[in-house]
Amino acid sequence: MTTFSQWRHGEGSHNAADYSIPEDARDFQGERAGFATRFIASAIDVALVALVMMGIWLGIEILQLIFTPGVQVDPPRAATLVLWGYLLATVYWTVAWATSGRSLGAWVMGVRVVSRKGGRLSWPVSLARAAFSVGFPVGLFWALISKRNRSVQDVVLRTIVIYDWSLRAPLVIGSRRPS
Amino acid sequence: MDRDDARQEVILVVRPIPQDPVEGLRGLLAAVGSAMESAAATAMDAVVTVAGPPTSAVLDRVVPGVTDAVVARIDITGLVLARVDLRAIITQALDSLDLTRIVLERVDLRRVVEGALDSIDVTEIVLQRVDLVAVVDAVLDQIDLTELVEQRVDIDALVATVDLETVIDRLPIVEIAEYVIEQTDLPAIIRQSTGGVASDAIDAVRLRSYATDVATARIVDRLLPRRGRKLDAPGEPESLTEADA
Repeated sequence: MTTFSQWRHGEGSHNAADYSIPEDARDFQGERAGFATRFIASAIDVALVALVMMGIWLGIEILQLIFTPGVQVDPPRAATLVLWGYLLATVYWTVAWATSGRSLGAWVMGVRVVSRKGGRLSWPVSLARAAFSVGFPVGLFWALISKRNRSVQDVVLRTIVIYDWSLRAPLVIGSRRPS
Repeated sequence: MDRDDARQEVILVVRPIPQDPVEGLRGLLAAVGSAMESAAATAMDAVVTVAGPPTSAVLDRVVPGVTDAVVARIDITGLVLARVDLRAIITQALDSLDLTRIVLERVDLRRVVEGALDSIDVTEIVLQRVDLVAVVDAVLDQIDLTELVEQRVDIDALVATVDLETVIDRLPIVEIAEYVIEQTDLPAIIRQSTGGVASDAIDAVRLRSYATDVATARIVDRLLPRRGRKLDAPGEPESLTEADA
């Protein structure tokens, strides 16, 4: 067992950020995340947005049934739902990346979106990335080929996705890490 | 003896002279010698008896005066110093005396010591004359200070007087806490005791996903003409939290 003096003088690990992370995963914290993890994280987010949209649609239907019974309700068109879904996803990702750097899917998979200097994304960059991801999701596949695991969005907006399993998430909205 | 008692009678006895003249002369001489001897002894006795007491009185008067006069004309101290082996005398005297016993019996030591202490500044003398560091070192070498303290000092009472807050202020409490947390792997214990199933599942999914990332990247890298990937990122997870602090 490392004594306190040994520990204090740098013998043994001395990284407070590691405490909440299982020992097996400590080595690769902070590395650029790979395609599979990011794909699953995105899929979870898309599923979440889809669920929310379904919920909204169902809610509207139920409200219509309650307040105007007997009236024939036209189901909303798929294109409309998709459009609203895109909008919702854009807002969701913008807020998620500009605040904590991670959406629900990113949290589940233990990844975080950061700027090229390691700080939080600014709101404009976050919005641009969200819109880019929603409009061009295929861009993620570039991470398969990229030497630095970068998607097209990462290349264009100079963002990075890292493994970050730490429980502590920076939640100060709008603040950016000083360069 | 009385003066009258000292008088003795001399009786002359007349007897017929023997016919031999030589023999008769001898006898006469012997008789005369005996008579003279007796007379001398008697005279001496008489003189001693009569003149004795007056001589002693004379001596009593004369001797002190003569002695004083003689002593006054002699440097006795110088004489003694020159002629007497004082060292031998004193050594012999000291050898023959139990000086310690005499001092203990005859001297009021308390008064002597108190008088001496009253007249001198012992502290100053000690400070000037004594090598206190050497003395203390010698004392400390001879005693087991730890044992002495353990036996004689009430350490609990001593500690009770210590201002612990000052001590605690000097301790790196946060570092100690982090050390304990790390050494006991407290997060692991917490994870195991609370919400274990969910967090374990998430950890398992994340680890599996990471393994898939690595495997996928390896396959792609093998297909492409290159060696490995550069995955180090400028931002570490903790740097984000530090920026908030």
